[in-house]
Amino acid sequence: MRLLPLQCAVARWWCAGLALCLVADSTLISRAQPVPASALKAAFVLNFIKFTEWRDVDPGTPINVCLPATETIGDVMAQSMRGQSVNGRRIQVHRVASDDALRGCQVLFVTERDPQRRAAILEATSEAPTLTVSDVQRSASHGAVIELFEEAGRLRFAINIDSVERSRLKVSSRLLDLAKIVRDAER
Amino acid sequence: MKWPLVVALLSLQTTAAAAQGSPDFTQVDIEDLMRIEVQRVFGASERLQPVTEAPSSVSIVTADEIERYGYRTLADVLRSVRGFYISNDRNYSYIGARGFARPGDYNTRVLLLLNGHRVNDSVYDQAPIGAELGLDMAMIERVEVIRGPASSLYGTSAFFAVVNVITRSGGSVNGLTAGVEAGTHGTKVARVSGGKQFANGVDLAVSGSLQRSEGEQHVHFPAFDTPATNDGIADSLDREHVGSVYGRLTAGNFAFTAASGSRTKYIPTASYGTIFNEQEVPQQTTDRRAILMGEYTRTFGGTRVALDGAFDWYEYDGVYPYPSDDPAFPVLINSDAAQGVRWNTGVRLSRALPGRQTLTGGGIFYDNVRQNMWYSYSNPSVEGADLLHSSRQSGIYIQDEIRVLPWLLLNGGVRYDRYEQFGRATPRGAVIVSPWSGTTVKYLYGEAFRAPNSYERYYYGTSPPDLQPESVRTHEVVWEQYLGEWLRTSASTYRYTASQLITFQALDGESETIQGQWGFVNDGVIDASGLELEAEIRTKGGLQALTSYVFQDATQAETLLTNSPRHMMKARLGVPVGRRAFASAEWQMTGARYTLARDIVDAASVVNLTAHWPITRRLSLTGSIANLFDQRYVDPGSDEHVPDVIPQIGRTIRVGFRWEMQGR
Repeated sequence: MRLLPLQCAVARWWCAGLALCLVADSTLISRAQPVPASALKAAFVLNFIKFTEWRDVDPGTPINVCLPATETIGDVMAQSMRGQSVNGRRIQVHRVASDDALRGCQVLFVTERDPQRRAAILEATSEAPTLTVSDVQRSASHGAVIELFEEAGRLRFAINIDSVERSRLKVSSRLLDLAKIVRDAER
Repeated sequence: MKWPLVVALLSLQTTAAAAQGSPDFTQVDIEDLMRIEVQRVFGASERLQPVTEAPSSVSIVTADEIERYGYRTLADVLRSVRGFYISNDRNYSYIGARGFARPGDYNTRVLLLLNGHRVNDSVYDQAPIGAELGLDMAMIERVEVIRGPASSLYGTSAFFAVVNVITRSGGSVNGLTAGVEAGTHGTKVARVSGGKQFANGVDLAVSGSLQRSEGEQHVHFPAFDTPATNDGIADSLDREHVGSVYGRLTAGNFAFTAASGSRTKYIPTASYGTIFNEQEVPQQTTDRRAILMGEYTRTFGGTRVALDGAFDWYEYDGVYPYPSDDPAFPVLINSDAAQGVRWNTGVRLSRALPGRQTLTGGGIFYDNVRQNMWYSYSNPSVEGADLLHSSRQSGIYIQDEIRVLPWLLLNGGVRYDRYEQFGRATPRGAVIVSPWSGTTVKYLYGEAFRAPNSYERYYYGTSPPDLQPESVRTHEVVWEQYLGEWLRTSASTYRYTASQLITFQALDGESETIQGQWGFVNDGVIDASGLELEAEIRTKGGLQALTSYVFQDATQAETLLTNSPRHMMKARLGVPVGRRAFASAEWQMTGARYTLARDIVDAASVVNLTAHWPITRRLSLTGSIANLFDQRYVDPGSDEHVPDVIPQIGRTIRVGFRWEMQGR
């Protein structure tokens, strides 16, 4: 096969460039992993905890984070959250099914896609001091405190201020500034 | 080539990454988290999953990249993707994948999906990747390119790759957008789109587009260079007219998509022995299609259920002017047409099981109500033929994904397809290892088949009635390495054997000169192997760079295939300029290729530039130059062409305005 002289030169540069990239790999310090989405969501949840205050809870006690028992996303999130601590409070990860006693959870991650079952879970925790976070569309306007959603390929979040009020949680204004604010949808 | 060096570096790097350990990104600030791009892929196993866990090597091209690099058709998107090359015969664009792009074949060995629904038509099995797709590029959310065989999920045609086009929702369009473009070769484009997600959850997107291009005024074909045939110049025979409409509605658990388009293309090549430079009755093809589809998704007690149904309508009309002996009618007009009408319905179930398993299964049924072809002659009127056919096909599949250990994922699946003439089972398996954060190694084994289509079976009336499907077996090892937030590298190598290829050739013992004695038969075994390397950089500042090198060696009877470049290199760079403007450049090199006549077509290098400047908050200016250096390269032609090679279009420039009004 023939390559034009120009292409030969370009090919050499290309190889050199690729080699450079590969060498550069080993010397650079990694920051956040771009994927998977589930690990990213875990990092978001940790940040939500950072900017939330639970009343009537002693500082220094662990925070119970409840993740769904059956979903793969729960595995990945549990992996990245175990052993972490936020504001000096240890994160304790629990894997829960939807019919478990959920009121002991300070943070509850809801992945239930079925609207009726999801409504039941959110109803059960709505007046408890539980930070409910969900990655299901329109979950915030239907009772969750925070909804994670994808926009232009990035994760964003919405906060339902009615849910915040009901749960008696204190959510930092820094978090509210970054969030899309929603209220309860009319029923 | 510098293989040993590169390979050594690759292995060096593994150890370095191992020592470095898993980076802790749980401490990253929330503002930074909001800038990280989430890349997920749906099509690789029919459920949404992270790219690194997909049982295939996957590339994703996003709406943002389509805009940044000015991709005008799906063919442009595929051209930019590692390992893919496109040939164009000035009528349609043809996909080359894994070193295979036999001139004369349609895009039958790549399955094109629209939101997971089969787009390849029911007559020719052709994946429409040019403007005949009938979908405005501005309505694409992302394109997932899934390499390797995937018949175990999708059945026929998922032979070398699956291309899944995900369209935009109202929430993604979010507001009103109108755009106009003008360009060289009399190109004019107008498009309008609107979308909104309403408070009650209903999401609606609509769009329409029109495009006209005169094409190159004078296309020169040395093979026709005689005074009787206008010195080999085809005048004004490159024009293209395109129109499309699109809509998507999501309400509750229902989602509906409708897309329709029409494209007419003049053909300057005088293919199939037609009159060169015929002006009275220009040679042309028109493709029209409409897709209506609906999906209902719900979770019943932990089982996700998706029910879908779709209606597909496809029509093709061709006008072919032939020389005539009759002095009263100097041009004999051949009309060639086809109509494919099909509806299908399917169900897909997925459920997480104890023991960290995810089980996916489903079934699909196609009723090809019409697979009709006609041809007739007028001027003088000569009787043609009506080839009216219909058929049914169905498939069932199951796939299991088991996370054996946190770092070890096994994936296996099988599908059985039932046709009226035969049945076919295709398996696939994958072992996916993530020894440490950021590194994924995959071993993939897959089989695929392609059933003979209606055209191959019936058009020439000569194909044997027991024409069998062709098949492929592929082994592949993929290594993906994420380094920090900004650098991704991957290396993969594959080997495949494709056999029983459905091939158009002279039938045994017959003369090769009479068309009636040609037909499609199962003949030919292809052995191929390849190596693909890629590196991608994305910085937080918005800079993007992607580069790849591919070596491929695809042979039949130890002879390199026609139109199979051994080397391909690609690089592109997108740079943000100021706060909202950006500029990008792309370079693509396709290595030398053999033509049908076993001549060699030289390697071709093409550079494209695109830029985008906001003028006001709502109005922006876009410009793109394709083939900046006006490279006059050629693609190998097929048997239907007199010239052995088809000259490609040179530099084209487009400038346009876009007006946007963001919804709230």
